Amino acid sequence: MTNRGRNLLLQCVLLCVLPASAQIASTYPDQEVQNLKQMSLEQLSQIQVTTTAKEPVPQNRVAAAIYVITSEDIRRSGVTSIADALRLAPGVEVGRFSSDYWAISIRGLQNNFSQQVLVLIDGRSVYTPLFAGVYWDIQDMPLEDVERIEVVRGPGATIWGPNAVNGVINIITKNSADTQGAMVSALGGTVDRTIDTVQYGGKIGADASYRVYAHGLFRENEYHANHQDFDQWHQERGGFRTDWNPQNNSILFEGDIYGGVSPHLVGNSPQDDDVSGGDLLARWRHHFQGGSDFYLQGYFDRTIRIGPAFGETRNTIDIDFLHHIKFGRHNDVSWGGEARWSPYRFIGIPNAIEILPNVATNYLYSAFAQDELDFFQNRLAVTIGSKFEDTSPGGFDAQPSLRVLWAPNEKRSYWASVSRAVSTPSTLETGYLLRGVTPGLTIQVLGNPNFQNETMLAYEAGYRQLFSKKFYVDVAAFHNTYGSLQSFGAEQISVATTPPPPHLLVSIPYTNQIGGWANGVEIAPSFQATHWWRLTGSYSYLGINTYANGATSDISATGSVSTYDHSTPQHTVEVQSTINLPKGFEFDQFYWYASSLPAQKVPAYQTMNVRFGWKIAHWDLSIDGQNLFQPYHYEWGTGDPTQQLIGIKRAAYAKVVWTSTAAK
Amino acid sequence: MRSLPTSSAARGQVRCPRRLRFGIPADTLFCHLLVLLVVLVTVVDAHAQKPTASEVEAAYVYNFAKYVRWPPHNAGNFDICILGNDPFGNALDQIAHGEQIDGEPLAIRRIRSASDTLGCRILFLGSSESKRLEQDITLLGTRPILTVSDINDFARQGGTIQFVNDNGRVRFVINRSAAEKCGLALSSELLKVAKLVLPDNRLGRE
Repeated sequence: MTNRGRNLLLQCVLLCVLPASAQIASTYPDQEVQNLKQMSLEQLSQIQVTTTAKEPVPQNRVAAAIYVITSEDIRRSGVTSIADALRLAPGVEVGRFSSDYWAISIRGLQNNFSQQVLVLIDGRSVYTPLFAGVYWDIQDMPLEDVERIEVVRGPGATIWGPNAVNGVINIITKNSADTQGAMVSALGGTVDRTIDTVQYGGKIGADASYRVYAHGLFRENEYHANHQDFDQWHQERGGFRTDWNPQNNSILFEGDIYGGVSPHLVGNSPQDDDVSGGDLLARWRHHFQGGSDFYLQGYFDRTIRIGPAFGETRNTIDIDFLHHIKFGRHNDVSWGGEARWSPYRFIGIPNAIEILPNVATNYLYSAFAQDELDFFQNRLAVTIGSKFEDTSPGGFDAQPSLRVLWAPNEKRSYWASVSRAVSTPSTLETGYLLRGVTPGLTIQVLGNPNFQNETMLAYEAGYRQLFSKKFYVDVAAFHNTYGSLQSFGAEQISVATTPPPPHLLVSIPYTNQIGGWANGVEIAPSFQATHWWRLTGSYSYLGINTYANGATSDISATGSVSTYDHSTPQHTVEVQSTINLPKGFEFDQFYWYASSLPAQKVPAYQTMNVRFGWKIAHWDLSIDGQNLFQPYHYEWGTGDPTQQLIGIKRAAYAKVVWTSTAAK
Repeated sequence: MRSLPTSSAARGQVRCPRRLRFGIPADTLFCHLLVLLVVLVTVVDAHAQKPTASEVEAAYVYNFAKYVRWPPHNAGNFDICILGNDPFGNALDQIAHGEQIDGEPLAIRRIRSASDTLGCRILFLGSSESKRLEQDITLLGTRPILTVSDINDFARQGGTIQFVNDNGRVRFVINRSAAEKCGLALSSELLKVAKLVLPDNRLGRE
């Protein structure tokens, strides 16, 4: 299948490139420009313009591997969830496990406990310290409200929080001033049964605006070979956002509330988790004359997830501030701090599945400072900084970073960096107790209160070049060395007498016995073939090699040498093509390929979303096909041999979006 | 399937596979559809396309020359200077070709630094200037130059006219005090069409 699939794809691409090259060869229409020249000021202010190619220059000056997924990229990709939208960025591995579970990582170490990536929504961390990862099912917001997603690969910036070891994903929602009027979005499909949003935005006085929304979804189950169709789920949410801009200030206040049912597999029995929660966030940013600024932010987040086997309720309170000062023309200093308290209660099954202690508070205190110095008329920029953290679990750690950027002109830039980053332990790693009892034998997996921070030293470099107005390339390469990665220690066998009768006790602790390295490269070209056809894509290569520093027992999908080495695709490719046809019609394709995951027995796959859209006046209509190459395909597995792989199905849907304000 | 007017290599060797097999049909169907649509597009008249924002901005810059009055000066060329990266392509050159403002022939000049602005009447700052905006504006001082840009926050930082995207249209914001400081008189026609005129209203969002 793959060979044929590849041939087929190649043929399709070739066929489509040829007419396009014919178009490029023809002369650029001058008539349009002459028409514009004749127009009055009033007429010019009424004309609708095409969305321009992504402006690469601002990113040109960042000494890190950054990629911005715009709301237009998301709209035209055919994806229906935030997690799937992340496939659009290079270096991000997205493995959809079931209808409501995704394993997402940046530059490797991908498993459903992906603790190496920090994920923020408008600055609020959605990472759960419970298993050190992100529950993507409860991050389901209306995609129409996403302004952009900034993806920084690597220990992006000293200023981001802990666990930004392999990267930061910052999901930014639209300012309420940009979502005025009423909006109704309705989707009906074969697997995404329905996803609907109703929203209204208005103004408050001259300086402020708001929006309120209600949103719900219902998704069918994916493909199960054993017919255990457990992963049907639904969720409802509502929220608001207000923005106020009195002179030189911007104030943001937003909140959400949600509830639903998210099914998961525990071993090989499904359980339905009741999920609910909400958040409130306030941020104040003040601009000083001369370019300095300051922000202060606080948020409250509550998550509840209760299933028949275990559950957790958690509240999080976070305050953070950042002060950015410009000293003269060549010196840019940032400093700030953060404090976070996260009390939780874990509800388990005594002596079978527990977190000890089951009621406690995770906390985090951090401070950072960073200085950027510019030389040679801003052609050379050197940034040095460090973040200092004290966390529970985890302890104290420092994460220094040095970055250099050389931009000889506005078309080209080179950058390099060295940084140290740390991943704090999850509550699982320090306090877990999983116990299986049979007559005469008890086996238990134990959290380790002395579990250390996982550490990484990253060496990165990159190059960006704008070849012509139409062609831009961004290349990034890295070499990471890891220490103290999570592993499971050797079995400790003893005879225990409590509880009677005497029995054999086998204990397997969480330890930090694995080290290793990873290296890779990401190449992301962007090509504006004609003014109506744009192609963007990326190729990412990742090689990981880990080894154990002591005896280990490879009992699970996480924390073993073979799973670290072989649970991330070595090669991933994605290509997005958007074609603007006359009269508002749109024809878009989004293709991706991931090589195999030997540890999870997931074969290599490639698939495509195709979208036909029509955007006029107040309407944005589309018919989309998802995962079209096969009836179903596997993307990820837990590696647990008792759990079957779940196939992600081919699907189709129709979507209608109506806005009361004029066309965008 | 119609043959394509270009490479002969395409005609002979490339075609959509016809055999239907489990897992393949959708590929074939979409391959055909894809090809058909792209062929359709090359045949359909592309003139119904929308202009780009840069083309509209170029037309605006030409209009600004007509709706702003400069203080008395020696006769010469009417130079429209571009500092930093140039987003206009040849749109501005095409519009300016052969035109005159008050008897002065229009000319487009690309310059490398803000100290090079002798003789510029209008200065467009490209997005590459965003990091040294403050320096540029300080260097320009009170010279009678109309500064225009689409850099974020340009008008608030002292620029005269800033282009903004307003629901898919190109509009502009005027900083009136910046114009007055340089001795430029803005026509009421211009002020009427502007999206915002500072410092009367407030600008700024996250």
